[in-house]
Amino acid sequence: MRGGFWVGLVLLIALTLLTAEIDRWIAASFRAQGVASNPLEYPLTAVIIGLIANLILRVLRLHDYIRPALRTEFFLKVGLVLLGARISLGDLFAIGAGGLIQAVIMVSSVFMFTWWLGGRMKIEARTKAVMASAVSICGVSAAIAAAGAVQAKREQVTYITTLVILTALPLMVLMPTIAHALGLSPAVAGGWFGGNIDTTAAVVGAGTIYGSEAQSVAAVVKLAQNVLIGFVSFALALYFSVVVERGQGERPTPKLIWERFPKFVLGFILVSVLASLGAFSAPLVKEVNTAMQWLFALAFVCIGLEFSLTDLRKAGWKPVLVYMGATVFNTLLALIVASVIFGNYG
Amino acid sequence: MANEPGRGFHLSEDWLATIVGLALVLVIGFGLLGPGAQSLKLSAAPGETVDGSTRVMSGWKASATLNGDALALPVNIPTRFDNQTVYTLTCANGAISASATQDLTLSYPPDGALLALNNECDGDVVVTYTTDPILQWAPFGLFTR
Repeated sequence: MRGGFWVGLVLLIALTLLTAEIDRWIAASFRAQGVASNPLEYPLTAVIIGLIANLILRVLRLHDYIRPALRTEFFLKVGLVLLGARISLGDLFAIGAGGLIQAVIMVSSVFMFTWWLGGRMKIEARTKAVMASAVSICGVSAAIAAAGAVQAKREQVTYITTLVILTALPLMVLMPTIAHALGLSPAVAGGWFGGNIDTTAAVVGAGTIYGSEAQSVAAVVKLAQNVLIGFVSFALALYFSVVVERGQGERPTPKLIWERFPKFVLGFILVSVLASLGAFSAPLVKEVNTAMQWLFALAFVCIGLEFSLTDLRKAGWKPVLVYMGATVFNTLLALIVASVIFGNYG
Repeated sequence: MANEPGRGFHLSEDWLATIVGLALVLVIGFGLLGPGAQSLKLSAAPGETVDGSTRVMSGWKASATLNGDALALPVNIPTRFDNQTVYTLTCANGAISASATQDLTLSYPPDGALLALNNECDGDVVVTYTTDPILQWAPFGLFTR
């Protein structure tokens, strides 16, 4: 498998370079027609190239071989640590405080709504818990963390994560378009993307498509949501132990909160503190920023490469309906909350 | 985006991402993989022309003095040096002007350019070029336009 990792990594880098070249060609074509900025930003190009490569690799039966290199979350987390160089401590407090308030409102409301809707549709409790966590916090990671807390089956997790990706990809493209149509400010748009789109990669993608400021706000808002994973996991584990298993299961301890805490957020904050203390020159911030775009591009190509519909077909349509209902609720509520919290930002 | 707790000693993806991110900032910031900070200083007495070779790269910062006093630099002062090109800075009437010509008949250092300082002013002229140590790796710029 080690060979597969290196072959996969080389392939990933090659596909990312291809993304950059195609992106430049698209931008030049738009410029030639008098369109100053490229409406098809590189996140979409990267995902499409990843999807095409995914299809080819599956036909050639090579997909499993290169799978070890598909580390979407890792590339994204490193990129988010680097994002700290661009966000001053003042901005971090301003966006982060708003983001935390928004996160608490969104996570609790969307979680409860999904739990309620899942109950109405008679979805099994563990699937409901994993789904409610995924849709209300941060997609794949939250699904995995919640699955650990409630001891869900592997199939339940893969099913939900497929739903997460399937929903996030169209939202990554649609939401910036809708935000433009609604004339949202970059801060409100960023808050909306961060509060609604489930996967952090797609949040960053939507923010990138909307612009640099929206990208920063969206990422910080999503990080604020991410830090709630530990608390939700703890609450879920406690609920399943006391209510669902009626005291038969193992009682969770508050240590679980720290175990589930996304530690890379600490790296992001550290880099942001260093940037605020003037440790980084302007050219350094520029180079760190371009390195970050590279890492994000690698993550976007990975999303396309990882996508699979196989797990979705197995589980039926009921959870799909619940997930879609929760996403619509999430979208509308996030727009209202982001407009209130970030309406006067900047 | 949290991870499953590991068994025994295990560096989680979160910590690994943090370490790699901080390492990247260090590598880029201190130019550990790049050429590092560069500098070139040319000093010319009145009527003298001096030259020096320089590395082909962008991000150069220039400053100049005439008899120890700071000299204003023209807007077209080169901050990026291209391969096999001679960049000439001329001091005349207390002001610096700049021009660039590609001359393939001259011998250049590998991956280098030449910088010449022609002093037609009354006093000693010193031109200093420096770069930050940060890593400037061309493929990094692919997504910035």
